[in-house]
Amino acid sequence: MNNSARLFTPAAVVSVLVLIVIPLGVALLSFGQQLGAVTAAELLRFSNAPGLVPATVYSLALAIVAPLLACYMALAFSARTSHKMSVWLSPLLSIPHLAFAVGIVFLFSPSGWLVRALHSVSGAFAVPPEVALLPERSFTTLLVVLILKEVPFLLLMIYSACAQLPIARYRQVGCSLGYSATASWWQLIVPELLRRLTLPMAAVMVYTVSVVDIPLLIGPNLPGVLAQEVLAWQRDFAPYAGVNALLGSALLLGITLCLLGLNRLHQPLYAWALTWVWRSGRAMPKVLHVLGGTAMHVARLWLPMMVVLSIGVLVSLAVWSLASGWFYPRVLPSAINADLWQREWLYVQPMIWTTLKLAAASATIALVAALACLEAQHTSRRRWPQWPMLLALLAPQLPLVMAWQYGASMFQLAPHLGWVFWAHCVFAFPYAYLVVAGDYQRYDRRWLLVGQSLGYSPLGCWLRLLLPMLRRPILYGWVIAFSVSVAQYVPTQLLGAGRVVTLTTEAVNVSSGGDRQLLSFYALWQFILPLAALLAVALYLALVTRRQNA
Amino acid sequence: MYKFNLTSIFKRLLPALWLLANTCTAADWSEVQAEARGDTVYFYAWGGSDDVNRYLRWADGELNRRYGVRLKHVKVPDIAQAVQRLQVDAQAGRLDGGAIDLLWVNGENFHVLKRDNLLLPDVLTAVPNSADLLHDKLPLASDFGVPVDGLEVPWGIGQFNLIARDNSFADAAINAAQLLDFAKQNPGKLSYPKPPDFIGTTLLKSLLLDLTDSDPRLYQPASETAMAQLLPVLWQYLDKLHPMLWEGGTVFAQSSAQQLQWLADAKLSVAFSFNPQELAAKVEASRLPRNVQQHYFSVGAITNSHYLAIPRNASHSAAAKVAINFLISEKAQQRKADTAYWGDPAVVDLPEGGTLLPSATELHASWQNALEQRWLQRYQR
Repeated sequence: MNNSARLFTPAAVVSVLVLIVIPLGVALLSFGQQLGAVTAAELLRFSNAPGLVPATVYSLALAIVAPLLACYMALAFSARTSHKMSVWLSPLLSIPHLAFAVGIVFLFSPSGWLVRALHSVSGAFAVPPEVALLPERSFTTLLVVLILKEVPFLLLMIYSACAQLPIARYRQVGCSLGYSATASWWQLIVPELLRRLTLPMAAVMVYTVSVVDIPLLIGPNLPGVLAQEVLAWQRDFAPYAGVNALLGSALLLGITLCLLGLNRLHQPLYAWALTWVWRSGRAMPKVLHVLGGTAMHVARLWLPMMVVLSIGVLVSLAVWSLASGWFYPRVLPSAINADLWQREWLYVQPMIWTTLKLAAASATIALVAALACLEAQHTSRRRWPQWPMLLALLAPQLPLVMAWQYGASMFQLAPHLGWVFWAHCVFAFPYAYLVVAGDYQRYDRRWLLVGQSLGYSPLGCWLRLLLPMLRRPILYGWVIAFSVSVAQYVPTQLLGAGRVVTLTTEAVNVSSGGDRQLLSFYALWQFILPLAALLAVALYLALVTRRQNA
Repeated sequence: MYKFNLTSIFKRLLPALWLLANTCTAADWSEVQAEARGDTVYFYAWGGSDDVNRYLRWADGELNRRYGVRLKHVKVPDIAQAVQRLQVDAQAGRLDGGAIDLLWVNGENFHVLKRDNLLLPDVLTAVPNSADLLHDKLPLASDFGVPVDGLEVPWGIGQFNLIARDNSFADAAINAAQLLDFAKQNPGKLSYPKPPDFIGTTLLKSLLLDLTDSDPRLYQPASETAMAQLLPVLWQYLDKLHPMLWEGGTVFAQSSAQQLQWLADAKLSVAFSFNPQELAAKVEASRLPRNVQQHYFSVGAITNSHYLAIPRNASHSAAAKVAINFLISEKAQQRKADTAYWGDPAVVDLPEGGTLLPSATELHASWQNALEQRWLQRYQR
């Protein structure tokens, strides 16, 4: 055992204990105990709960359709672009989901900006029309918003996967076999990419099943998606509601596990379909060909469309935060002033610091823990199963955090920044791991041997060769973990108990009043921090690349 | 000659006793104030209203200046979050040192807190300013049909009212039939917050009162026979109303806040509110257009109060009492009632108290859950 293993293995053990085993063990134990106490009558009552079946169908449909469509859109888009585009992804990645939803609905709903603009030009729509591009609340609206928000994350993951593949050689081979560029992308490269996208797709699916705030704002509600119904039971104090909430969480967990299973079949199915087409010796069905072609054309529009969309969303948030008296059908508010900004600045300042401190510290810890785990896997020469590393991402967050809260009450622990920090580390860790793992595990270790033969210690090689060579995934891992920490509501609110106020807790708590002006104001701040971090990383990477090429 | 008279002795004794009692509480109260000094009160309260948030910032400044007490508003999207925290504390055995010092609460959440014995008793009598509360004029002693029993201190008054655009209704007082007529003539322009949102449920209660001519059984526990006899008329009405609602009644507003936003967006013609002065305050703050009017149900605007309460395991209960005492003082209530700040009706006598709408008493608490559950069973499939 060399001295670097002596360093990494204990660090990995501590990480796994503190960030996975203890937090999840405590919660799973109490969850299992409660589930064990459920009677048959309670189960029957739950199965007859109003709207349970459609709610479950909504959740399943949403979690299958949104990630898949987002995945193929991202794949179609990446067929033609290089990862230099990733700077453009930053604003999209860092717009908070809720703010994005508010902005999209304000742009496209029947009383939204588009219709208002049409009214001011043509005089039509003195009252808002019955239908516009997106209704204020519907399954379609929810689906569209989630897809648009998931594509950038998948693009980032695709770029990082592409960097590990000899794409140019694949294309050459495809070319020599007589494939078009498009065909070799879909038939040679995409199967490889899909294999590498399994974990990111799992993350996206889990998010789609468990997300609550966006469906509450724009989704259907008679019934809503399952997560929304579970929340309603949790807020209800009727005697059976607690049991329904528990069983609902269990059902959500079941759905999540099913989806993860399906997700593993995705790549094999795709590969099988390709082989089947080859074997049967027939040409690609005409329909698919046309469809593929259209997809590529649409994909070409994706970047301009997304840039326009995100600018639209940002501008509408900014204008709303400055607006005074803005009612349909006016295109612009009757007055613009910075009153809100002046008034709130004093109160926002401490929140910015708290958010920044928490996010920077927990992203760093999460990243270090992820690296320690990855290196320890290498030294033990055994690849650990991946799903336990992502458990915190897979488990339903609210019951998990409530179990911790129960523990804190039991041991008479006062609410404290430290607990919030720890919880942020737990939830940021799987994302850091997810982003870094692929590149790390495929890193060519011979570089380290070369380094050692030149007289560097193993640890020295790790620090001076591996870290700089994996600069891109590591920095992106940090920045994604940073954004995850910024976005945490439940753990901050429940463990902080008002002692720890971040931009996100404020945004969510204030948005319960539906005041677009306040919501826009806080959403903008929630957006600025991750954006600044992402842009800094993107610029730094661009600079380093340029220096290396020069 | 001096005549021994029991009545006169009693009459003289009474003020003396009253004075004595008062000085006692005054001494106790100065002890409470001394204990409170330097403490921070963590006040769990709904954070969705800019007006309320700013009002509480003002109260924090005043409390700090006068009594050396800080009032920290812990904003929550739903006060059920605080109730859950107290329940978790109770299950885990945290009997003191809790995170919540003060709560803004009423209705079902209060019932749960009272049932589970989670509130500090005798708060009402412990704060001197409670002597000024308008107990004889306002329904303050029972919270959604459940006796307050000194566990809560009234803070403000809610009255169910409608805010409508563009002169949708001719008179201020409307009834269920007029609402249905309006829906028929203006399909897609009405919606209501989906029960169990409490404003949505209160609409159902108002309709039920109207459609059953305020049947006395609505003020008693909801029995199976009463429900079987009274509810069908409501379902018949809603069956006719729903197809005329926004999106044909297949989707509802999620909250009264969302509905107000849609009113400002001209998507809907009517929104509902529990604050009789919300319209004035929102128009003044440019959050609602000027062409809106207030209406109420002719059976009476369902009226209830909202309260302040201290959890049993609060860490700073003395400071919380000082905060309550200030919040129900004339100065604080005056500012609260002013539509330039918040516009919530006062619970004490004010020189310029706003006028209240003709009121109807809250239904018995059990109707709340009955209506919500049956509405879901009937319309959410």
